[in-house]
Amino acid sequence: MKKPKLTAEIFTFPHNGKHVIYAPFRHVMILANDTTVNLLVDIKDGTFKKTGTDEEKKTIEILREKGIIDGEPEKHPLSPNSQEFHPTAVTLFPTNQCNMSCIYCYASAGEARPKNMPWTMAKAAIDMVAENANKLNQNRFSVGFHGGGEPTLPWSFFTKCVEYSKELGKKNGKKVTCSVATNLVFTSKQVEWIIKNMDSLSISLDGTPDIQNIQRPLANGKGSYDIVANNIKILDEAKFNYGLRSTITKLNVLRLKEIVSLFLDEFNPRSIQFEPLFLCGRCQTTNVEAPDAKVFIREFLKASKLAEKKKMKLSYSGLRLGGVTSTFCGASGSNFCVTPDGNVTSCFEVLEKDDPRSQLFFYGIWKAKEKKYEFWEDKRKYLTSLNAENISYCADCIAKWHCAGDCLAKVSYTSDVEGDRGSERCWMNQEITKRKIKQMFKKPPKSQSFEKLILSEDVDIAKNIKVREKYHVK
Amino acid sequence: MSNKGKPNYRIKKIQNVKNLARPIVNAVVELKKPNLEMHIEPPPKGGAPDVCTGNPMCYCVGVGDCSCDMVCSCDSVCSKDPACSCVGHTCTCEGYCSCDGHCGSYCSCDTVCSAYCSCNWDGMCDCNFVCYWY
Repeated sequence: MKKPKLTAEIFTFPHNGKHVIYAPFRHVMILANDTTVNLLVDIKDGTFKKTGTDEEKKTIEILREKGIIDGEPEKHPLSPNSQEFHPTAVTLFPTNQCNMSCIYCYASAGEARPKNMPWTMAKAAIDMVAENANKLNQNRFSVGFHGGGEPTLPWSFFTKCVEYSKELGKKNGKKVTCSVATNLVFTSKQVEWIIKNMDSLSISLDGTPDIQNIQRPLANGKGSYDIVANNIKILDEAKFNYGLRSTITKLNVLRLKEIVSLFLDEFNPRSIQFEPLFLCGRCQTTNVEAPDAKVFIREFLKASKLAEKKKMKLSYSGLRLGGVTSTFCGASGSNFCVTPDGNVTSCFEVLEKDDPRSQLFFYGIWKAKEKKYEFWEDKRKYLTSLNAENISYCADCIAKWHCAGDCLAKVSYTSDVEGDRGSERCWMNQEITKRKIKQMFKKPPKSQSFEKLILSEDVDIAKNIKVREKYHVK
Repeated sequence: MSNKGKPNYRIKKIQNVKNLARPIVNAVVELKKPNLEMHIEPPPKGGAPDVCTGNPMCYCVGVGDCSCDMVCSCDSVCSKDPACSCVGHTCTCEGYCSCDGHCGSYCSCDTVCSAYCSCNWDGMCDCNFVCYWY
């Protein structure tokens, strides 16, 4: 008989005196003993010798059934480099000004000389993505707006861009998706306009009133919670599509469960995202502190359980066990973002030419005279090469196909994109991924019946019991 | 708390085997694959333009209107989410995305989620876990 062959990329780590064997592309995690790990090593090295025991036969059978041995070749995500660059989505950064003064603002918005995007620059970018959609025969294009500053602050510019995009879509028979990341400091009339014209919002809200008012005060120093909460309620009445995003600092890290409860009791978001503070921008002058990594992991997983009970998925960008990806985000050469100065950047966080990271992320420029964008394809291609297939530091990491080398802006801030990428965030992403995997191996309590668990809405454990019953496992 | 060197989770031989000398698999957790079955509605008889009848993923709405939104492999996502559309046989969602932790970036289910998970309204991959205990 043919020798078994390892056909899955696998990672392993110890857990409760055993080992977790994780095959991300097979979507399978196995808990097994030392000998199973050694058996896999032997299969990998081609030194496996059959002993013929029942346990061995059963183990081989399970490994084969799950595609870890003798399976079809694995399908890896498409490398962005394999695609020609004809963006059908643009993100505009209309201004560096803001009506708030968040204590950790990565862009230190409102401090520098005011810059606002001219209409011709925005129009050309919108025209280009619409034209690309035509060329590629796609039935839609997207226009997004993001900070630097608050993107809706130049309100007439912002509404003009959205209305023009929708009009252009109508003319070309395309669907147009318009979205914005906003602080939601609006008048009720503006909220009404948003409901009528936008497709989705990502709203920054850091938690309870006391937290929000400390971390995200208005530019005049007053609290912002009441304005934001009132506006979210208007969105809820209209059943509008939005997500809430909170920045987690040392101030609110111990209150994540409370924040989840507040968000789900008071509002009706489609998603909740918690991101630990990364020290940069205004943090240097306000001395706000990032949460301790261990504390963030512990509190996030607790809050995540609470959210799941309330049928909400809590997300953190470094924990993406659900899918596989070769890039952390579009900063690896697929984002088309335009700054108020007319620089084309792939990163939402690197917007200024005097930021040393602009050398990495800027890959084009607006040519005002010619009224067109010039792209530097070699620079963009280099960005696309920074993906999980090629990052040597991440080659053997368990989170390789989930965090995919992590946020390039943060990596390039503290370490070397091509070399040693070790950082606290890197450690955190590995640990939180392992903790989440370990959670999945939580054995169901024997005393609880399936029906009781269904009633208590602990469906995951209930499913587990059902499976145990099916396999007659005691 | 930063890394002590390059992370390495590759399998390697365990020298002092502590537990049973025979291989034992204690449990398997498997990602539940979403239902990728096709929901193809045949075009109504007569009046359907060639482009519609020629494409098994499309069907006719009214007279002469061809719609492909309701009939792709990710039907439950594509038909409900205004940010998703069918490209060939794939449901592609270009919407506001939080799966990369960067507000406002765009992703598509087919590359980010691979073929195995479904895509939420915001481009986040949604996969369920099912646990089998041996």
